[in-house]
Amino acid sequence: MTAQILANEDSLLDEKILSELVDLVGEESMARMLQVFLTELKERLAILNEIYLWINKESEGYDKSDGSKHRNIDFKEIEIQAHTLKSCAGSFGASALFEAVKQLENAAKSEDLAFVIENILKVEKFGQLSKESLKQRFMMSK
Amino acid sequence: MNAKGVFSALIIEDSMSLGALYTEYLRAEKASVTHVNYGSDALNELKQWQPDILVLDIQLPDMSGMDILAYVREYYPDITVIMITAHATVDLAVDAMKAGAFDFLIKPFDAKRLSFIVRNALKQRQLANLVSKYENSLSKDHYMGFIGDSIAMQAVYRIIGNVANSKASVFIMGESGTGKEVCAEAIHQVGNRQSEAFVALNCASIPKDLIESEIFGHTKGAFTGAVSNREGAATRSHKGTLFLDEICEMDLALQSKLLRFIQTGSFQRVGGVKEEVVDVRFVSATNRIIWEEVKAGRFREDLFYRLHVIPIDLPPLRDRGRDIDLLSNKFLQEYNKEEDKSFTGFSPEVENIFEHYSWPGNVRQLQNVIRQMIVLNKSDLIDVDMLPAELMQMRQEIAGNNIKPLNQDSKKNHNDSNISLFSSDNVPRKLQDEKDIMPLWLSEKQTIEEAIAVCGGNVPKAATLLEISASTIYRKKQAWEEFENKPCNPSL
Repeated sequence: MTAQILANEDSLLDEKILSELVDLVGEESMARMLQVFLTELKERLAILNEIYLWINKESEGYDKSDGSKHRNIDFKEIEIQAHTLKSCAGSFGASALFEAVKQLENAAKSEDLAFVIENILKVEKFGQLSKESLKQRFMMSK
Repeated sequence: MNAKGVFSALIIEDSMSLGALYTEYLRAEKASVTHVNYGSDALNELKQWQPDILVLDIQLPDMSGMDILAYVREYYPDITVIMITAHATVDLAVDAMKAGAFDFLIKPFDAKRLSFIVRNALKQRQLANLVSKYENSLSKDHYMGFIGDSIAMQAVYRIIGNVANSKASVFIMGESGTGKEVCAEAIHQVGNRQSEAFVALNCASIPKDLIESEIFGHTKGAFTGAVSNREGAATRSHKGTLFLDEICEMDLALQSKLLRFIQTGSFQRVGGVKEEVVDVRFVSATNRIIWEEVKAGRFREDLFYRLHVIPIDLPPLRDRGRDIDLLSNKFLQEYNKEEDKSFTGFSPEVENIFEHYSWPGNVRQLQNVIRQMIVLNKSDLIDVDMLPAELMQMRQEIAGNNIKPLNQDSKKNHNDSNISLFSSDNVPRKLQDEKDIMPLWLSEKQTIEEAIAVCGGNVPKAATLLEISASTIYRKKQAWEEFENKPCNPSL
């Protein structure tokens, strides 16, 4: 799993998508759009983080691999957040984040708690990394 | 889309960043873009304005994109809808295409893909507009049961096309035989209620005591003879069209019930207590001058304003120019086939007479005249000696170079003809003076009596040619006799 994460880190951003976007809308608009994306990313990661904290609280003393014991966990909300983030990440060239939220969406759909926890962490990690990377690439100079 | 290629687009996408991205994509295609996050916001926007293109996410926080698609297809069918979906909902996207979406995009998609679909959509819209303009610019020689390409009829076709999809009440006026029921059916068939019922009710042909039950239905035991519950025209025309012909014949008491029904959309069956609510489009017609009826107090003014929202004035045949030729030839072909005859056309003299005759019975009279000539004769050409008496009068006028435009008075000689269906004094003409007006029943009486005479006293044959039942003739004959004994209006 660690090897896979590292591999994803290597391809954090999809340069082809980003170049096409810049060609289409220009640097200035690109920076503006990315600002909207990063704000939305922050909001959705915060929701996922809250759910993650809730999961930890709910699952104290339980075997996290046993999904049946965690009926209070809002898998549907996780799925919705992951679903939307997936489209956003894919559209803005955040390819590693895209892969992570895709996994999270699948985990939430199958209500696999262990897989959900693992992927929420991955999403959080790649979310932050993508944010820094995009900021550096497009917005630091502003 | 305007002349500079700028088109309007509404994006419904709950993600702010994706909305911003799609906005940029569409701006690159010269779109003027509005982005909303919620389905409810989109519905509010659509009430204010309608975009050329709607980019719609299937999954929205407050409602399904499919519901919005259905709403748009029903109320704004001209909007081109492009659906956006993720892999997980491809099945839904296919359903969306079936439900009338133009195309769909799977997220994430790039600008090129959206551009390709938008350009296709715009091209299709342009073509559709072009076809529609082209169709509208062509004069039609037939339209939904009507035949004729005169300017007067083109105007009627245009009104029918424009009002068909509206729920506004239509009021059709026109002389007898101008096609009022054809017009009502055309409105129903062209409009978005075509798959539902068209219910026609002739207010003059139903006894006054029964008409309320005919319209609203009745419950079992409501009156003598009401042996079971019965649906009325109002119930049967739910979601469809209710055509009330000869509306001026409706008595005042029932007019007030009809008014309430139109105002509220609800009614009670005769003898019933339950309110029924229906969605009905009203089309009414009369051959009377409706405003005169209102002024005389025979027709409620408030009902008049409810029904007379979109007036359609059907032109009399004499004002329809070349349509007389088109109609004559159509009827000739039709009756040739029905009567197993082989007429190929009309002599120039007959055509000339047709053109100048005033056709008081309009298209129905033209039908009857042609059928009569075809039934009673055997030849390849309809010639002048086959003409019925009322048209022979016109021949004599032409021979004497006495043809006057139809809007001028044409006094006739009493001795011109003794076989005319109309006595010579009653050849239809433009009325100039009150003394020129003859009672309708009298001209009807003369028409019927002459038809019987032409048929050698054979009442059933005369009735067939007059397109009425023999019993109607007998009933009318009785009424005339009564009228001759005591002066009262014998109209039936």
